[in-house]
Amino acid sequence: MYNAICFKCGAGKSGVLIQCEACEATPEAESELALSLVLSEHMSLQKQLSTHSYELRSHLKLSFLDARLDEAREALKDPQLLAMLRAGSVKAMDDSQAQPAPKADLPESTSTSRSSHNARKRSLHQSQLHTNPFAVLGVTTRDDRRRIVAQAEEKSFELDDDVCQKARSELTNPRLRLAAEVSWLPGLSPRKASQLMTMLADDAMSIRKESGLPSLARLNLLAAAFEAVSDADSSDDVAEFIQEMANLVEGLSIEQILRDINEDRSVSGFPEIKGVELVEVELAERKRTYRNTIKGALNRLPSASLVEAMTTAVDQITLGGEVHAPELIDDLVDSYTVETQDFLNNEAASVRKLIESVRDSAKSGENTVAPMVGKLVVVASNWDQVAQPIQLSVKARGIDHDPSNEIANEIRSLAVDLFNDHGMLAQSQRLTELIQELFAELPEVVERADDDAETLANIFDQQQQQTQAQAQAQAQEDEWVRDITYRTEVGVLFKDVLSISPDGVAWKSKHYDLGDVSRVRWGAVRHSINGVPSGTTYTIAFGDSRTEAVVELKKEPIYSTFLEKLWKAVVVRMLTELFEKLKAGKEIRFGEALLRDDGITLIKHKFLGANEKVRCSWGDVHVWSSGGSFYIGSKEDKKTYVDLSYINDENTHVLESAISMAFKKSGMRRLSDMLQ
Amino acid sequence: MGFFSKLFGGNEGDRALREAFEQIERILEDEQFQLDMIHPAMKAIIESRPAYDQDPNGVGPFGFSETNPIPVNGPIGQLAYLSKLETASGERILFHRIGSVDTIDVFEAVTFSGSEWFILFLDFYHPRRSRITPDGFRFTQEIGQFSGFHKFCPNFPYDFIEMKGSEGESGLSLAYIAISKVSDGIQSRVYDRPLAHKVKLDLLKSRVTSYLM
Repeated sequence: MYNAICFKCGAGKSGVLIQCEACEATPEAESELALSLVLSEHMSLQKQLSTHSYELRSHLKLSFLDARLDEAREALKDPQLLAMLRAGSVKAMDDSQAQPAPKADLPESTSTSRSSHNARKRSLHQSQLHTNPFAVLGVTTRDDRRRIVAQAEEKSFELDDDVCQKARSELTNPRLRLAAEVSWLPGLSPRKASQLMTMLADDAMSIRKESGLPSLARLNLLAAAFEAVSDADSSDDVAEFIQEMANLVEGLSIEQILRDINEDRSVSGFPEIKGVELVEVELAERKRTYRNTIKGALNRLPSASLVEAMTTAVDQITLGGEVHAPELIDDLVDSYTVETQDFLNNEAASVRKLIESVRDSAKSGENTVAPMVGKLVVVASNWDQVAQPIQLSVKARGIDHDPSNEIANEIRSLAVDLFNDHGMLAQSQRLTELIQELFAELPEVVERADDDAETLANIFDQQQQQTQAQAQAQAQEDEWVRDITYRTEVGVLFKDVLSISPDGVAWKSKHYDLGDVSRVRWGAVRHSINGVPSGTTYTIAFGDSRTEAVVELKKEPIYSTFLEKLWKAVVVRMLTELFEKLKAGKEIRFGEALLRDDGITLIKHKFLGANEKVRCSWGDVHVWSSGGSFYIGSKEDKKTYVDLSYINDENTHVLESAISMAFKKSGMRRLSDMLQ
Repeated sequence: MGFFSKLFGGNEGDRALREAFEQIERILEDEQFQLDMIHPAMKAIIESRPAYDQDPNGVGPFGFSETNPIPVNGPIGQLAYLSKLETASGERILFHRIGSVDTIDVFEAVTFSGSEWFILFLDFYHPRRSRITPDGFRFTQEIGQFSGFHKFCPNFPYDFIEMKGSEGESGLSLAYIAISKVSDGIQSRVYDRPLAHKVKLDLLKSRVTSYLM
């Protein structure tokens, strides 16, 4: 039984924040820690954990409410919990005098203890931290005025005297001293401070592995280490480093800093600082320094890495633009926005030119437009790649990014025009997909693009269906043409042509359009002489309301084949027309029978006296064939019937088929039920 | 009149009873007596260690970090110290020992009302207990009768009454707080660990050496 599941792969775990045995992922960033809490039995029932496990394994969106994530984040603000997380697997917490830091310490602490940042060893002997007056003179925050003065004198033998005197002045003047203290290592013992400076000089990045340091001291050390970042560092590592810094800045406690500084001042004999206001001023300056330090490091990276590092940092720390970023990240993005403005403007201009080019070329057809749309996709993607950190940031801040909106709208407008004016569905879909991909951070744009994509997809489906239906209809039409087309010659010496096709049915000189044929009859008569069979005559007759063509055949194959074609070409239509006329309430005469939709009028044959007409419903009659005729008779009275010759009476076959078909339908009351 | 007179209503008529009261007073207050109650070997180790209010090399928040534990005089000193703590809002705490990280004992504590939960770290290898309190705490003006245990309570704090009963053999049961003072919270089932606290326990689970949960 597990009591938590991995935030990454959904596998069961026996501890909330431990490494997953299945995928080896360990929750590190605040978002991962918060998610891990939700995915534990502390916040979810076993059944819910099973559901979430399935969702993770199936790459589905987790189904819990954001409120639970907020609750987890709130829990992660607990100072003691933060301190424990900071300690991680390291049992001792070194020299920290810090109160457990607020929430922003969390990613810093976890990432430093577990991160896989660049292990390349690099020394650092020059940094802003090295120019701090404490570092210049080699004095500690607990040294008194006399020691500082003496040390300044001594150092002036090896360093520039002005530098030493300036450092002395800054450390002995209580007001100036504060700036030096804030930018030094407040809260650390002199011994620990010395150790860390040595570590910085030996391997700057090893500072990132140090845990349990007071936040400000840690920040100042990390800022120094940031000065060692070079183009050899990966963008992911720099992004992680930026997040560490940002979270630390966010978690700084002015009260704690004031306490740390005053503790040292009480030892060194300098007057204590009474309020936090002065510290706030110095801290604001420090934050500017941190931002500039990071900017400097980013500018040392290749352009692509710079963009990647910014994007990764903003993406991870805002959970894809879902939560507010720390102040330092916002400041960095603002700087980034200013510095990338020219590039973005130029790329945006290129995008617009391409949009116009596509629009102008649309009349030339899709073959001309498609490559230009391809080029537009490339340029717009380039633009978006650089704009990505800004888009994520504005999303996290809940504001619009006007340049993105403008470009998205212009691309959408082109997509709409390409479809509406030129019927270029594929290109329109391609551009809509581009908008969905590039502007995923802009909710309104995405919503509209999603609607467009759905609409275009529906249109595409409809077009597909129409095309399929047309193809199917054409195929059926072709098959029907093949099925009914037949032509043969009849006769031994003088041959006459019997033919049927979509153009009509013809015998000798008589031709009837298929739709004009209103009567058919056929049959065969066997002949014999003195009981000896002498052959069979096959008769087929067809005609319109005015004339009739009668074909006499000797060959059964011709008779059968032609009837098969005639049935499909003519009789099926006649059957349908018969049912429709009956449904319309008409009465149709077949020989002596009068056919209605709900029944038939038969003849009661009397031995003496005149025959009588008897009206029967369909439930009262039955049918049979005998002696070349089709009989319809009353079930109750065998003298009540009509007989219709197949070969002589027109449309007897049609009537027989209609009645036979209808009788097969259970509960039939009307012949026109066949139309339903 | 001493505070025990206040506690027990000043009844000094019964000599045997007074001797019992004095015995309780020694258990609660007398640091040397508390040391005398433990094994001589352990006592010798403890007496060899420095006496101070806070480890000068300690790092991290006092009492809340294993690297800056509260120095106290042996296991009975732990009970005495923790039983004298109250929060800034004047609430005393119930506590039990959930294990140790190396030589540092880890205690889980909760206010009588259940409003706040704590993890506290104590180091009992010192001849006297600290005279200072962790941030957010102060020493109570009440009699510091024991309100917790130097052992793990499986159903903390709902099993307080049973655990108190089990202290009969230790000779400490007389020094424990009256059941009536904690029974309200227990009967009302007010003790519900907050999420952050649960996670802390989860983190400690892998680190304490004698964790019994």
